[in-house]
Amino acid sequence: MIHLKKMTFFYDKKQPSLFQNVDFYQPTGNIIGLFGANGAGKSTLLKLIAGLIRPKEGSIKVNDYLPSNRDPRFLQEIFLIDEELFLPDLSIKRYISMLAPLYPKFGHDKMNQILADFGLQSSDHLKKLSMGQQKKFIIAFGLSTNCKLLLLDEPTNGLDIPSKKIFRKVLVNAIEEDQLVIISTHQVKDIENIIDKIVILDQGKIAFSEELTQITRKLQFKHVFEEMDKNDAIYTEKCFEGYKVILPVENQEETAIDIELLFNAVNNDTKITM
Amino acid sequence: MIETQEFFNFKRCYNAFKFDLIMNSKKFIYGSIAIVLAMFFMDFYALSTVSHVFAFGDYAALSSIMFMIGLVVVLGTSFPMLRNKRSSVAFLMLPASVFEKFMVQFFLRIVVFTLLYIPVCWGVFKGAVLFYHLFEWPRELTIFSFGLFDLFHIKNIGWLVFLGMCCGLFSFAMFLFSGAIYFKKQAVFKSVITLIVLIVFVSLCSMLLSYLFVPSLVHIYDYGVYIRDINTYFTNFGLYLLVIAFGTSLFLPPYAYYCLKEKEV
Repeated sequence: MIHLKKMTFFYDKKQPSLFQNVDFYQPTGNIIGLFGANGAGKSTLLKLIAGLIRPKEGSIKVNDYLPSNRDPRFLQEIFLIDEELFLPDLSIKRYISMLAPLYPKFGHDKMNQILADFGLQSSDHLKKLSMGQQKKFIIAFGLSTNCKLLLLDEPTNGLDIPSKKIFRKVLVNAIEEDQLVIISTHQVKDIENIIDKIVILDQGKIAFSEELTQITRKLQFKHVFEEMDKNDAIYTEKCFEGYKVILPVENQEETAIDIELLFNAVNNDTKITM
Repeated sequence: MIETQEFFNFKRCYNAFKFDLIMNSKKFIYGSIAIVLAMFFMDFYALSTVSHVFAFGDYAALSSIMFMIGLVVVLGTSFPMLRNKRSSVAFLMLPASVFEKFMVQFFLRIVVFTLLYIPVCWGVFKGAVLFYHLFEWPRELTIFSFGLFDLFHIKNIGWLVFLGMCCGLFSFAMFLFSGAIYFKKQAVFKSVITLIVLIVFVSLCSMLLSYLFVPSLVHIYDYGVYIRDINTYFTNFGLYLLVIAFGTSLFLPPYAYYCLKEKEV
């Protein structure tokens, strides 16, 4: 599905590269959580995959297309929900009638169902919706396109707590096996229960890329009250009333993944061998 | 192997056309009203200030000037979704080929505008004449009558001049079209400034060459030397302009297409 080969990208030649010789392969059938510190390049990576910008060196292929060629058959199978939305001065119904014909697999029933789940009416005017409602609408539209690749940049920004819950439900129900969803976010808690793979960007590289099943098989995430022996813990972080630790799995005991702790570990250059 | 589906599909192109029409419907309506009103006032102003006769030549000059101004406005504002980052993302991600997106704008902004301009210009002028006669004027004005398509009487100017004018207009249109793709903000203004800079640059080059090769015939800014008649309507300078117009009309469409193809956000 997505194949990055020795991909290098920078905005300014004088600055260090945002990505340097990145290799990455991702087939369909996953919901990926894309994490990284501010400026790590999450949004840029999504734009590179969408073909909105071009790699300076190396290549990106999505569905065997070069995204930057903007082949319409490629564009029919990709939907990007940008952090900053662009919605015209139209009703939802009019917007759908205008844009849906350009997506051959668009599901009108699915759209109506998701709109109902989000409490939106087709007669609602897009410009009169709140930011959160606009976000819900574009998520509904994106999911209804049934595109093979959905790129969501901070999709839960602006959503209230009940809407975040509905978003998770809707996303899980709407996605098929032949689709791939990449969600870039800082709001780890919003998506931790729906993703099945974690990708972390750090220092111009994909520093960590593992499926959740593999992580739970190899790592344990614990909260202990006393500092552990440095040799046992892969990563230790002081917290309220003790320490959070990442340990190698012992006795097949599986623990819930603490994505924030894992992210901090990767961000602190901790070597995590899977 | 190059597949035609990659470039053009009629249904997709129609959907992209519909998308553009709906997306910019308000702009088109208000813009059309503004252009018609501006034409009406220009016509009325011309009628009320001309001395005693308003001949076909006056109408041809007036409609040509208004057409040029209209082209600047209509073409300078083409690709309206490229004006800011958010809408640029939406435009570039629209599932239509670059060629289809290009053709939709080309068709709407050049073909439709040109086809509508001729009858609208004529109709607005007739309206302005009627409006003019509603008032008492201190002087007698004779307004010649002319038909809708009198502007195309090629035999009055010669086919080579007509071809040159068409190529020149097309180049001018494509220049503005390219500017609308290339410049993100204030595309109209920047395109016009760029055109002026280019004209000044070409003039300076001509002047420099004249000073180098025929210094005795150049007097400060007057470097229009060796103008010879090729036929009744055409001089060597006209041919020079025709070559430029023809050359740029061949170069600018692929350049505009390339600018759109390479556009990033």
